[in-house]
Amino acid sequence: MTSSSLDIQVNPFEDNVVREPREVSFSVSGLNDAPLRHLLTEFAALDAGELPRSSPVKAKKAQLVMSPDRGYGKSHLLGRLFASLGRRATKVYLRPFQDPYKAWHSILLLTVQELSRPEDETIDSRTQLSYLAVGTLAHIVADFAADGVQGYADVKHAVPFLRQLASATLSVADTPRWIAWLSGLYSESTRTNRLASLLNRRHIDLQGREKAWLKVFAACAFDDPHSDSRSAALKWLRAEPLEPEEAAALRLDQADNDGNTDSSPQEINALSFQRLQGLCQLASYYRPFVFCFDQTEFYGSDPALIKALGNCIEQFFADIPNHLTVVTANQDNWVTDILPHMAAPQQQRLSREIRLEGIVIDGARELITERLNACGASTNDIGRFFADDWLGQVFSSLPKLGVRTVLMRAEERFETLAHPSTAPAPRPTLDELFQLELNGIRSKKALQAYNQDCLMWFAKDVGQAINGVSVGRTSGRRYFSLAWNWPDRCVYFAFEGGDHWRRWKAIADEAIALAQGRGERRVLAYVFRTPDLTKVPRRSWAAAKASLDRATSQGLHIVGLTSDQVCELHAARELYSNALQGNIAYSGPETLTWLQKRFAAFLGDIAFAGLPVEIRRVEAGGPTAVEPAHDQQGAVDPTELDSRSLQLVLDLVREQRIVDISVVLNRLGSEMLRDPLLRSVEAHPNLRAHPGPRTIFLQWRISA
Amino acid sequence: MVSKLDELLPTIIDAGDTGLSFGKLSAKFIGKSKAKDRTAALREQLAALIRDGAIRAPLKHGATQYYFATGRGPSVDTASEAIVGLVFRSGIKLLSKAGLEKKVIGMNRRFFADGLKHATSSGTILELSCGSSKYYLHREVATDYFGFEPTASEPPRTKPADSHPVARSLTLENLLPAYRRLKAEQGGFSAVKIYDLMQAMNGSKEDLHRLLVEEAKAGRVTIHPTTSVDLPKEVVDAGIRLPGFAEPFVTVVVPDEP
Repeated sequence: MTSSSLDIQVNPFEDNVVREPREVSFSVSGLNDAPLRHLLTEFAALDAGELPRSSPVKAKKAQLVMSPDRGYGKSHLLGRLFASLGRRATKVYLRPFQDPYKAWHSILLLTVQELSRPEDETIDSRTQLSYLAVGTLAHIVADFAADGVQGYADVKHAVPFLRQLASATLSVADTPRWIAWLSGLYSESTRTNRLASLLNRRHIDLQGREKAWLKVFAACAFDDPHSDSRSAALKWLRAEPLEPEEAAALRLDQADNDGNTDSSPQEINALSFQRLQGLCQLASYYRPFVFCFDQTEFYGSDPALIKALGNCIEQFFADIPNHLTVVTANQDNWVTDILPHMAAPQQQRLSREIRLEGIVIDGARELITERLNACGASTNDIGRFFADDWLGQVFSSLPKLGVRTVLMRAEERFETLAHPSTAPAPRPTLDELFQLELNGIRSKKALQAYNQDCLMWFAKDVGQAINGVSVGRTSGRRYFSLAWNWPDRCVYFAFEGGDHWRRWKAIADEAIALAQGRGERRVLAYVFRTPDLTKVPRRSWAAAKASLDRATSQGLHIVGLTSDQVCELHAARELYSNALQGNIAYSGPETLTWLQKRFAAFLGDIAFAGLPVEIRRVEAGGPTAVEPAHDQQGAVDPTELDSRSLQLVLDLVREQRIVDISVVLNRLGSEMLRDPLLRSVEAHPNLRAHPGPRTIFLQWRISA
Repeated sequence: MVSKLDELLPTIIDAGDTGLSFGKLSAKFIGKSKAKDRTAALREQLAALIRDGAIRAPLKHGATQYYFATGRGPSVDTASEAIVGLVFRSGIKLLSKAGLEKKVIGMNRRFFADGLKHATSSGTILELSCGSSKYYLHREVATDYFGFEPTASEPPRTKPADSHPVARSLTLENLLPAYRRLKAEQGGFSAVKIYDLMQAMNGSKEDLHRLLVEEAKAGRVTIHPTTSVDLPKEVVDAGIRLPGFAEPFVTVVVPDEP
């Protein structure tokens, strides 16, 4: 079979973990249909009837999807749920939060990140937030018009058009005209204030911030996506404080700029909860939310996190309408590690288990055939793959198996057939698995966004490895929430994604206070920033700059991570999460120890203030290489390829069917084009990236 | 304070192998009043639990009736264990059947005959005849005394299912009450550890494994490995190992159970 079409570089069964629910593109007929139906039925109560809702729909209990072991398709089920719901819901995939005092902040950030994604894959698709905003604003005006306006007899004729605009069913030709009219209407504060009073009619209570919400939504709906006002609107939604000019751009009253510049974690958390509650209430005008807590094994190591998770589940149920919460877990982790730390009333907010099932032989044949077809295997080769009743032997002991078990057996089978003279490969090393995650993160831009939970996890769990260190959460600190302690030195960490000068001045002041309050002990303080965040300090800052300079002289470092470094940190967390979930053949502690060694140089630099900060690059077996600490000076802007380069890539991949990214980059003439190339691959329907342990392969796909 | 009858099943489960007499139950759930309607309610609730298979029918010991959770309390298996222990401790000083019966005390006595059959048919003890009397010798005592070397091909101490009266009596139906109880105890989650079932059934691992594999093949149960937590050694040891699978199957799910 070595000369057959199976002799390709990518084993189609190697990919047996769903990293992102949206990656799911194929499902075996009948497998886990019952759990999916159950979730869809629970959801159906949220969007039954006409929009807008007369009042927000009370939430149901969180739906608990339980797997008897790893590899039965928890994340895959979420992917199917997302695909089945389509435009009916805003789907928020929640990776575990890390700070028990700011759980809502973490959930809100992920929600706003989700809302900032395009509604669909079509070119120039508007963001989900834009649709939510237009839907809300149009329905409110329609409610107003439906009452009739004295002197405007024909105003009621506008109602059906406005309702269609809200539900995105208005014709493409008519939409711009109505959007422009609506935009004009909301540009006047007096009218906006009057319209805000109509929210009450739908039993929506935004705690006195009704006008602010409409103004912020107006910016999201009508302003240029790259404008300052849109940026300010997103900040307000993320519960960040606004600069005066930003508040002015949104026409907000001073009181509506309620994100305090100097806030405790509890205050930030409370405001984040209010924002999320507001978004979900306003979903009455558009569509419900679905919040999915996945990778829950992560919470198991920390009772404070479990308690926070329980609180979130309870508050979601009690105080947040128009949504469905889904929680996934492996049963033993849930029963052994999580439930004992979760209060009984919180447990009551969970549904009975929704059990996942194993795959049967017919389903396995369907799945394997699909994977072989996708990699271009011929009918003859597919026949040879199943020859000698191979699949029958796999199922000879049991009629139902975990899906991943089947994929792993198929992977072995493929290797045997494609490379019969090669000895079976040893289990992948942690180094290879890390590279696989790294290439996976590189291939998806959405996975590279600022993630305070990842940074906090890294500092808390990976940081434990440093010699003699004691790692712990701080108490009584507003920003520096985590510390590494030695008898003679301390290193503090703050996690801030915002860019308000007052907030940064407060951070600097706290860093100065920490340095001065420690006497003889040396103090370092860090805040990490990622390339997608605004650079701080800004040039225009004066008072904050003085404080930051002073803090810097006393040990504060604002570290701008490169995109490669971000990918490595995120890959580290994914690898650890996979170990905790049983997705790889290494335990959590084993994997953590490996990561601690891998990042020892980086940890050492942080601990002993070596700048620029370096992360060892993961070159299998090779020497370490140093990455510049600051974003690539003069590097290629990591957007997509230009049309000429893209055509070159398309021609090459179409011709070769599957090709190593290094070959493509070679053809393009620059290694620096890797990120733009991957962004183009993500966007193109005929291209697909296959992250592997050593490289990324690009595959040609025949799209419908 | 008088307890609510909702707590009746958990209370009996908590009592484990000791069980609870009707007197103790009525003191806990009825109090001192001995009101007829409350006594009747208690009896009715107990009868309902028996009908549901959650508890066993009362076992009489002397004048006292004892209630046990399903899978707990005296049984053929506990009697068999007591007999095997007595024969082992007696060594080469052989115990007669009558002498053995006198030593099996408490509620195990009512299961003596079946327990003895179980112990002999499993090959753990050997029945010797002398005239009309029967005597018993433990196989390990004989092994030690004669210096037999156990070999790899030595048959397991339990005989194959087709010649095993108890194995034949172990069915999914009589496993279900224990399964339901364990499932309820862990909050309604359906994957129950095979180790816990084995403990609850007080039976041999081989019989249980055989039953579970047969039922899994028939599609009436599913069995699963657990790879994401570190399980205690005894739980792993109680798991089912199947050719072609690296990990033991340590939990069982009965899909049709509500």
